[in-house]
Amino acid sequence: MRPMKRPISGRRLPRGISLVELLMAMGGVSLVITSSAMLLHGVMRAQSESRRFFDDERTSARLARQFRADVHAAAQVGAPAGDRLVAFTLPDGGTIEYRHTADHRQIERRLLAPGNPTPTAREDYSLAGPCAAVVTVAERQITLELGPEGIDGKLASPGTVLPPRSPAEAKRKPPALVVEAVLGHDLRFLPARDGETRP
Amino acid sequence: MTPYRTTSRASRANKQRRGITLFELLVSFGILSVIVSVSAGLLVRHGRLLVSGRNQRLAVEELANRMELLHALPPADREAFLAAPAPSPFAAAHLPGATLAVVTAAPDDDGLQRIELAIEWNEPGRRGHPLRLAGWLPSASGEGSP
Repeated sequence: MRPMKRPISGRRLPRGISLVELLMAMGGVSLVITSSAMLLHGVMRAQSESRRFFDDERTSARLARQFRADVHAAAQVGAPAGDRLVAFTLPDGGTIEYRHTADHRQIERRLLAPGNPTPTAREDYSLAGPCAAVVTVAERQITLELGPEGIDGKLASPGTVLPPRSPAEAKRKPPALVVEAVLGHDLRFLPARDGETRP
Repeated sequence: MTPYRTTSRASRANKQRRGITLFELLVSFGILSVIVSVSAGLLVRHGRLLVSGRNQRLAVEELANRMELLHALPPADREAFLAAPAPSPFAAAHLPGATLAVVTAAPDDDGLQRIELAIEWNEPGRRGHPLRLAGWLPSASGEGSP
């Protein structure tokens, strides 16, 4: 107890920390923890967001490639009916259908063999969120359009920006895809040119 | 006068440090702020990467769509398009400052003409490095379907 009573305070060793020091240390530590927690959260969100985004991008590219190939191979195009977006008739009599599922998160491609009502092949194109899909047929030009949904579930027109239904939806980029293709463009199904003979 | 500065040799030798100095605190905060700012920069670049990935796919689709359109157009309209190529309204809306250019070559022996479409848009490192797609179309003067 003797050194504590000494009037020259510079000589004594501190036996503890003051309240101000404690508060400062706690403030600093909480600042560090808060900033690293925010950073960690941001990194995790960015990771999941980018995974979903690139999944959608890859699906869009895959759908575009398949749709274009199907339009090129098709001989005739059928009108949309119900959840069927479009149907193509192949030169061999087979049918390819594109359907938009009821939850609007998936586009389904079905291949039907001639005379067989059950699909022989299916392929799914799943998207992270609901989207609108429209197929328009103008003579031989077929256009598939994928975009954000409007209020009525149809494709939102370019000018309208609808309020997001959830915070997650506000951050998500809606799919954007337009595929234009010309019917019967595939060289394999065309008659041989002059002077050429088929193998 | 700090409590640690003692004149006695003995007490200096076995003195115990009971805290951190201001200098150490500043160094640690400096290192922390460097880490945070670097990571924040990475997050910003991540956002740009997403936009860049989408722009790339949209540009590829746009080139394919324009090539299809060229194929479908009658010869007179095709010449008009080749004279003044323009991106579609969809691409113009989604790709900032998109410009389309066409390079045509003379028709070859088969009567097919090589047409190269090039698109560029406003993105760092993209101006002057357009995305290109080449296609072979029957020349406007030639007859017959492809």
